[in-house]
Amino acid sequence: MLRYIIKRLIYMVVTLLATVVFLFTLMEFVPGDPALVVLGEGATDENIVAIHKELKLDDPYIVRLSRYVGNLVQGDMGNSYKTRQPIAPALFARLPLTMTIAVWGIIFGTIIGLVAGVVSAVKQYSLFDRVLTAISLFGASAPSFWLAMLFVLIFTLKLGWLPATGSYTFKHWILPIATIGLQASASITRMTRSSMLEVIRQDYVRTARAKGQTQFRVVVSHGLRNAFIPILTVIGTNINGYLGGTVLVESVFAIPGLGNYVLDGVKTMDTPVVLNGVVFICFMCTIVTFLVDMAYAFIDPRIKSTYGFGTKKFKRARLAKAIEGGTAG
Amino acid sequence: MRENELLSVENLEVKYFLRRSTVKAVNGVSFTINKGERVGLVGETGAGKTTTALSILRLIPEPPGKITNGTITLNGRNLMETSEKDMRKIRGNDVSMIFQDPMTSLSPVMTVGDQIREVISLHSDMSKAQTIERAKEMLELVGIPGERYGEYPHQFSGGMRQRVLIAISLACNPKLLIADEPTSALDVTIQAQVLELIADLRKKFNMSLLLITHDLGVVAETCDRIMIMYSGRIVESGPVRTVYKNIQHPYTVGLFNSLPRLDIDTDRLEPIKGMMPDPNDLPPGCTFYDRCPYVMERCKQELPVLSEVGEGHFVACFHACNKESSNG
Amino acid sequence: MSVYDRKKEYGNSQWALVWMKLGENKFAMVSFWLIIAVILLAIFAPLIAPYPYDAQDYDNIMVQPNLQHPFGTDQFGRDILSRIIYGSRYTVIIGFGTMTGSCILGVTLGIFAAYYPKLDNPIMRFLEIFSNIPDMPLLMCLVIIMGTSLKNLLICLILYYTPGYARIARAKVLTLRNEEYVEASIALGASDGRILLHHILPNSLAPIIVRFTLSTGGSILEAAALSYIGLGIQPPEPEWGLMISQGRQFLGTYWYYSIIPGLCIVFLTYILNYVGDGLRDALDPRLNH
Repeated sequence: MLRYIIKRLIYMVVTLLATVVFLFTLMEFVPGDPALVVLGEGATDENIVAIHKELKLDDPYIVRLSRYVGNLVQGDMGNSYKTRQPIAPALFARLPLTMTIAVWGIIFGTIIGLVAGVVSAVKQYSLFDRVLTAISLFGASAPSFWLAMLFVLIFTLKLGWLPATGSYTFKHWILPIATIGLQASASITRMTRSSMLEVIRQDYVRTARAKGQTQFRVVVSHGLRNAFIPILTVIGTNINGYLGGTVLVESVFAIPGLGNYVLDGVKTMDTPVVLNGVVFICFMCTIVTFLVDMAYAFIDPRIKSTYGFGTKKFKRARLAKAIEGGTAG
Repeated sequence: MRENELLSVENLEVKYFLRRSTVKAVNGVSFTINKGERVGLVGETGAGKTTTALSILRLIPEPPGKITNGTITLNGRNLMETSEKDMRKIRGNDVSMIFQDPMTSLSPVMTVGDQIREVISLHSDMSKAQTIERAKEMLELVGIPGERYGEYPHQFSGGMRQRVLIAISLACNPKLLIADEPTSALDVTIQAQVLELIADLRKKFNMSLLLITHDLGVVAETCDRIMIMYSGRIVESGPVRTVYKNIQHPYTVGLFNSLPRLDIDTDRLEPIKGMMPDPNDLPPGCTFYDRCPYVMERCKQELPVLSEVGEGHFVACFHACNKESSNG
Repeated sequence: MSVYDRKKEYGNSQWALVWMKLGENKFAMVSFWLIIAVILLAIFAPLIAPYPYDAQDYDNIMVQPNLQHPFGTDQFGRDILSRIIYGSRYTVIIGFGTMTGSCILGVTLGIFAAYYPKLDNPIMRFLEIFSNIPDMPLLMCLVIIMGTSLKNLLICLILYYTPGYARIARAKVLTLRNEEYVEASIALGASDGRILLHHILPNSLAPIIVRFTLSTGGSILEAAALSYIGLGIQPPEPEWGLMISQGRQFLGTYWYYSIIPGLCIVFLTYILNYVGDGLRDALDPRLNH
């Protein structure tokens, strides 16, 4: 297991580093002189030269890249062109808002999606299954910002039950979390259903029934556990999707989160803000991917064993396999 | 009900209702199994053997399958009228089943020990420590060291997995063990070991055995009685010795002719010509008529029923019965 | 009726069989024809729309839905129905344009990666980095470089969807190349190109087609999202996501202004996903009985 974790960690760091280099290089192609962004209208040639000197913009690409990566590792993301303020504190200040919505949304979405998907698969072709399939397809087909607006229209403007924007009390969180939760549950339901349908036809589920196990335990401890790998992948994709797509929901509910910060950067051509914001989002996504990978190994012992334990026990099992002949798959 | 009768199946009919058609998988099967008796159920793929076995446990996947007729009595109890809850107490405890493919019949994400322990804790009041102990005993019993309790199925070979499945099915001392082609997915060298293990343990626990196979040799070695199934019906049944000495049904004859024999020098085996009838569309008469060398006009119209031709030897064939009555 | 009987009825082509199985799924068939209808709507928008999309009428600003304006008018007095009909052009172009572009690019890259082991690692690693970046951040980065226009939106989305196709194509080629019928034709001296065209491409079409249908809906959603946050199609063009955004400030009183374009997106994405699901089921050999 340790070997597996280390291998995934190394992989994670390398991917992240490559992503940073890629994004930094991409930002080289942003048109226009950054000094003009910093200075705004009416910049004089003298000022431009001064800014170039101050920000070391004229250094060769490779020097700037290594300086950027070096600073980044130490937690220094540089300053915004527009505000001239450091970026890292600004990002961290906005993080809690984005995370609250994403985490709770995914938690609710996962619970709803798992339950709905399992019931749907067990009662395949029933009325419940048909209605649920239609609803989850709708959830997967609706743009999140539109869904959010629909909620605002119904629950804020028509019924007046919940606030759409403003200071962050419990009530304010409900609509953004519901939007993300509903969308996440749609795709999780769809994947749970199809994965469960495949699993409950497997022989080992029949074995569990033949033992006299209850329907519920058969479905949950034998069915769902085996069906969980693809579901986990979808949950991971969803978390990453919302960390990236949080800007849409944030813009409807006017939440000053990570997404809006990056969007403002794009609109004002504030390259460092965009670069660091995106790098930061990628960093969080990579952590999520790593955790999902760990969970795979936790759920499915076969994944662990491909990395070997090196213990006596495992070697003997392999030996037994070899002795007993080629029937092992 | 006779004194030592354990299981009796009467006129069992199972159908699978598919979108476009209805598959008649089992069409009026009746048989009994006595306490401690070993019965072999033989037939080619698609004859309805597995469906018959799953019906006894009421494990037919429903939908699309459904038991449309018949009664199944276990120890005097009508299983057709037993609630699902009570059926669960019977499964794995009174009747247990070994399935065909050991590679897919164990959950890949649970340790083999836990999979054995599951059935023990379902059917007994033992504490967790006791069930673990018992599961380890079961592993040892089927020839696997008890310390492999915590390993996963992918760490075992096919033969070892089948041993684990045997341990699962015997863990609660069932009265009836159903073995559904327990060796057909295994290597030839391991087949004999596994069969021997089943035979030994059956004797030890004094269980009844319903062995499903397409191997007539295996039946001769391990069973007291044989039943031959063809397109959802039993066409011949009787004590193994009687039947093997005096084969009556043309289908059984065909099965034997398609086996290689050591005592006769032949260049070619004789397969049975033709195919089993489509279970969507069974002929009204004998289902074997278009492959039968002795086919008569009557066979196409009328369904032959099982009738006794020797002691305990039943055959469902007009030709065989005619021959028998003209002889005797 | 077995698969074999059906084959007799519908000819021997695998695709005829798939088409027939899709036909059994009534709703998928209806969805399929609805997609055709939307494409026709986009092509013939000027003939169908009652008003030009940019005709401003300051006497009729923010009119509630009525007989002249079934979906009402916007803050410049433009007919919303007409704008939605014209807007279908953007959606269709973006949806199918993105998928065609990324499909061709991705499949080509995937085949190159699979056929030339030296290119395999560089291509696949690069695409992996690409697909490690979530959709909206990546699209934002591309937009800040290229600026906002329909052409740039298309390029961004094509780049975003390319890695998925490349992965499928590469995996398919690698597995298919070891199939015996491919080895047999290599043994017979067939050229790489011939094997590719006659054996590998036809047999890897199924997952690519399913992905094509399912991601068309996805790319429509992405494009609408970009337009919504102001990085996609710019005013005064009638794009559905943009219309949702423009109607936002009037949500309380003129809810239909942003809700109806949203419904159009949902409708088109829904039927695309439905056909995609149906195709996946029809193409799945495991369900073939």
